Formats: sequence, C-alpha cells, structure tokens
Amino acid sequence: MKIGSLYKQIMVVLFFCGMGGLFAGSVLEIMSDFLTRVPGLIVLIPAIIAMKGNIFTTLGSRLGSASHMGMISKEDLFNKELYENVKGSFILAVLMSLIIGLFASISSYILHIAGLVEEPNFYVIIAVSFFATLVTSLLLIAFTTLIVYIAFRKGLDPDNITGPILATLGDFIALLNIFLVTAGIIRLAEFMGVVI
Amino acid sequence: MSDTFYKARNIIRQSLPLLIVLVILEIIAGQFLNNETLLLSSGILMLIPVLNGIGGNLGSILAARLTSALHMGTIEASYKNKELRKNILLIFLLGISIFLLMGMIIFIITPMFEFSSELPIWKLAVIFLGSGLLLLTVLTTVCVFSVFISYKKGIDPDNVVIPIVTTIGDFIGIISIFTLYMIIR
Repeated sequence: MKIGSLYKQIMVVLFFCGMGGLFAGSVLEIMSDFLTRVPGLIVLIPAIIAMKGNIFTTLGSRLGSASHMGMISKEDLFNKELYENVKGSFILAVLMSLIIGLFASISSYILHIAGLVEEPNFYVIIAVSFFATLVTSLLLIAFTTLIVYIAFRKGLDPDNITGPILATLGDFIALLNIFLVTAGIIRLAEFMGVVI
Repeated sequence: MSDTFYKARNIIRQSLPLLIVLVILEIIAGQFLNNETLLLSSGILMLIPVLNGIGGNLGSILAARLTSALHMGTIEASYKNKELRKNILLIFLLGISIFLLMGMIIFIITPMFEFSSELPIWKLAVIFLGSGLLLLTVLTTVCVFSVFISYKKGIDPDNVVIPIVTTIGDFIGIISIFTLYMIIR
C-alpha cells in the first residue's frame, strides 16, 4: 500500500483518539482542585487508565476471537462463554484496583517519609481506586457487549471496531468516574464531619 | 466447573502477573506527577491523556504492521531493509503531524479553563511538542527492537509487544513532560 493512502487512513483514527484524549484531559484539568486536596490521588490515574485499557481491550479481542470460533454469535450471544469472559475481566479489574490503591498509597507514604511528598490518605485513595474501577468496569462491560451485539446485527467483524472505540471512550469514562467518586467521597466526609 | 472454552479462572491466572508488573511501572510514572506546583500549572494535566493516547496508538500501529509483515514474509528480521524504513518514516510523518495538530487545538482550548498559576502558552507548546518528539523516537526504537527480538526468540510478537510498547510509552511520555516542565517552567 502507498504511504499516502495509509497516512490518510491512520490520521483519521489518530485524530479521534487525540480528541478523546482532549476530553479526558479536560476532566483532569477540572479535577486539579481535588488532586491537590487529596495528596497521592494523581498517582492512581496513569495506573487505572492503563489497567482498564489492558483488561478491556483484551476482553474485546477475546470476544472477537470467540465470534470467529463460533462460540458466540448473533443468535447466541448471552451464553456461558460470554459470562466466563466477562466474569474473568471483572474480577481482574476489581483485584487490580485494590492492588493499585495499595501500591499508590504505600509508595506515596514512603516518599512522604523521605520528605518528598505530602502524606497520602490511605482510605480515600483505596476507596477511590476501588469504587471508580467498579463503576468503570460495569460500564465498559456493558459497552463492549453492546458493541459486539451491534457488530453482529450489522454484519461487521467485532475485531475491527471494539479496539478503537474502547480506546477512545475508555479513558474519558475512567477519568469521569474517578472525578465523580472523589467528589462523592469528599461530600460524604464533609457531611459526616470527617476531615480529609 | 463449567465446560466452556473460556474460563474466568484461567483468564485471571494468565493476566495477573503481567498486569502487576505493568502497574508498578505506571505507579512509578504517577509519582513523577505527585508534585503540587506541577498539578496547579495550567494545561500540563491536559497534555497527559493526549500524549499517552496518541503514543499508545502510534506504537500499537507500528507493532501490528511490523508483526504482520514478518508473518507474511514481506520483511525479514534485519535492521537494514527498505520496508522497515518505509514503516518508520510513516510513523514519524504521522506522529509529527498529529502532535502539531493536537498542539494547535490544545492552545485554543486551554485558555477556556481557569488556573491558579499560569504557564505561558509558548512554554506549554515547547513541553508538548518536545515530549511528543522524544516519545516518538523512543517508541519507534523500543517497538522495532521488541518486535525483532521476540520474533527471533520464537515468541509471537502479537502477544507481548503491544502491552510492552503502550506501558513504556506512558512511562516515557510522563517523564518527558515532567523533565521538560522542570527545565523550562
């Protein structure tokens, strides 16, 4: 294939991905107030985004393979194969959210002892990681299944569409949930009279 | 136990070790951002998802193209060949144009937010484009080497190169932003 036509094709995908990044970045800018109010919260962000990317793009690609092998199809989508795939990804995401919360707060605590950063709030960091991942995972599972379903209905290969759509929307969804969960926890703490 | 082809237990068992290693790298990268002056500087946070998203995409595209070419036999695992150079040229052209384009859009958007400490827009431009160029160079190098090395060792590059390239991309992207910010703020 000629470089010129490849360039045009890929540039379109990159542009949409860049715009998705801008939306996600805007959520981060709006959050900057929380990020300074909850020391150590920023450490979660690259980890949660990368983890969600790894877990749910592999779910998408496994579902694509499953459809090629005839294990899921237009007529038989909501079956045991789909259930096992979804269950595996969901448990993985929840386990990883606890690991990320622990690693982020422990590393921040060590850097705090070294005098480099402010003292992290263990409970808030682990709670944000857990609840934000929980909501994000449920949404992304619903999204992935919906994309596969629509692909079947329209006679498209799920392999070609799940990846780019999840990559573009996923970061935004994850960041929005981190933002909302943090706001919720701060409100709850204020309501209960606890100082964060 | 169910009699399905896919088993949740196996999916978890196969993915967890690699995910933990990758997450440790991401946490280290995240600690570079754990800095109040950086968090309060206008526009810096906005750059991160854009740079990481585009970096991950460029890396995955190059990795997928090289891997398919190797499988089809249109290129050999040698560093001196025309197809390889053509692919690298393509990625650099794409990378430079998308970073310039996104750079322009960011500079239109950032003034719409309120910031507690201002960073002149030209400094933001230097940080974004500088990090982009650095990221592009490192990603291409890591990608070519990891595709060729895994292929020569008999590991299918499809299974390993993309997670490696996207994680190293995130890491380098964040560290370039941090370093350039510290130098020119």
